[in-house]
Amino acid sequence: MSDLESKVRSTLRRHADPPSLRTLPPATRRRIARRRATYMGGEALAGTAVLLAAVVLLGVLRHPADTAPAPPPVPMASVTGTSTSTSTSTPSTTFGPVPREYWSMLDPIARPTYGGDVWISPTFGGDFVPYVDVVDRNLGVIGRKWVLTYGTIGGDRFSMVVFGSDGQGDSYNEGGNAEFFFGYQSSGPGDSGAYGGGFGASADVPAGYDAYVASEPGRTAAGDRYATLLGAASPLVDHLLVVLEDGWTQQIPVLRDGPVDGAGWILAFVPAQTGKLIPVTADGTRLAPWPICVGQGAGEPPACPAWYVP
Amino acid sequence: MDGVEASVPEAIAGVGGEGRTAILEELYARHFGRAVAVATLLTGDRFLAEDLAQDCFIRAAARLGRTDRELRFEAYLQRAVVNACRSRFRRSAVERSYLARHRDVSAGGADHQEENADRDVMWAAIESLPYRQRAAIVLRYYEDLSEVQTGEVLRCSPRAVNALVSRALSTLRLQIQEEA
Repeated sequence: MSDLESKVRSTLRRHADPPSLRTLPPATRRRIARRRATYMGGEALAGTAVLLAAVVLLGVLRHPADTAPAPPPVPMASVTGTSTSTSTSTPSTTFGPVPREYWSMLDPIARPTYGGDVWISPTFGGDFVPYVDVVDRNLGVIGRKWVLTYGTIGGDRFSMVVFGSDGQGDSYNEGGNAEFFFGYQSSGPGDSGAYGGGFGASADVPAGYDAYVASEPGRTAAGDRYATLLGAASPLVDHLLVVLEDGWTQQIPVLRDGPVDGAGWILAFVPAQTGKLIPVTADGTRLAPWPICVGQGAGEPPACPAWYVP
Repeated sequence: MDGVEASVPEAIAGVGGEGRTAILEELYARHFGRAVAVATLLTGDRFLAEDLAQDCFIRAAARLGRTDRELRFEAYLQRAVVNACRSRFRRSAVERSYLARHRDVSAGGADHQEENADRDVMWAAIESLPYRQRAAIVLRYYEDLSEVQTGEVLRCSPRAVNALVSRALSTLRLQIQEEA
């Protein structure tokens, strides 16, 4: 081993902190059990979806005249406050390193201006090509990735992408069947493995809920001023209500489209408080709420509403 | 790999209640601290590393017991941690860029010269590496993984691992010489 390699090794050991013996916290044990239950359920659901897809494909092959409809256009819902209207267009999508135009925000000085004491109202749509993740991260993706919606927040671009996953590829390991890109930036030329920011959310679909936030409760970090809710909703759900602990209530729309017929998708930016997400049917019936929890820092379970029992 | 870990996927499938808890506790005691250390080296933030490692452990532990494919817990956890840190690394790219610019501008002042002289040059150089090079260095020289094992975690060939490590060492050598 060269002198340089020895220096690298000793530097790494000095900065890693020696691993200490840990005991499994009870809260972590409960989270594992919950995650395991939803994971098993999600696998069963994925298996069913693949089976259904095979049946549909078989039907198409047997009846070539009944050709499958062309992929629907990307919806560009105009959402301001509680009103929702939808127009459509078919922008092309882009793969590969993130375009320079996405190198926009996350400036540590500017970021706190988002959220905390105001609702963040994204402007959906825009005259630009929505970003889709790079091709080499598509391991495990079934079919193509769908740009569900895109737009700007305070002038900064975002795109929300959904896709099917076989639960084994990179996409799943990184967390999911839905990706949200915001304030993207490449870490620079020459680094083939880094393309910018964003995050994923897994689709371990829980039973008994018509709407859920795909990321685990408490995924927001301690100190975050707002939580980004990425989730899915069943065909029963017409819209959603976010009710925070201080009584603040906001209606948010369900985005339709994507790889699953009838499924709805949720994208909302919520001030970081505990609360609940209530799915509401077209006739006004309120369905079982999903908790909105807030992270409390390393090793601590998220703070959740009192009624929620993991 | 020791006997306990090798037998975990098969053993845990038919275990419930306290037996399962005991296996999870042993895995936690054995691997969690190390996962935090790797995440710390990849993110440079101990608190963030704790959060990421916790999420990754939960994800890996929830998958234990699958019998349809081989699942080596430690390897899965390592890969999950590297992937999670990579996602985080991308997200914080703009912050790093901003802070680097800020640091460059402010480093010219006399007040900072003494501080700069004292800082850990090697660590600063490692932190400036592109993510995959940094991950390769951490896995090879901290985790002591072979080229093949590192390639499994990074999803590339041993040859590509060699190239990553080689480029990283060249960069480090150059930066240290410049600092000197």
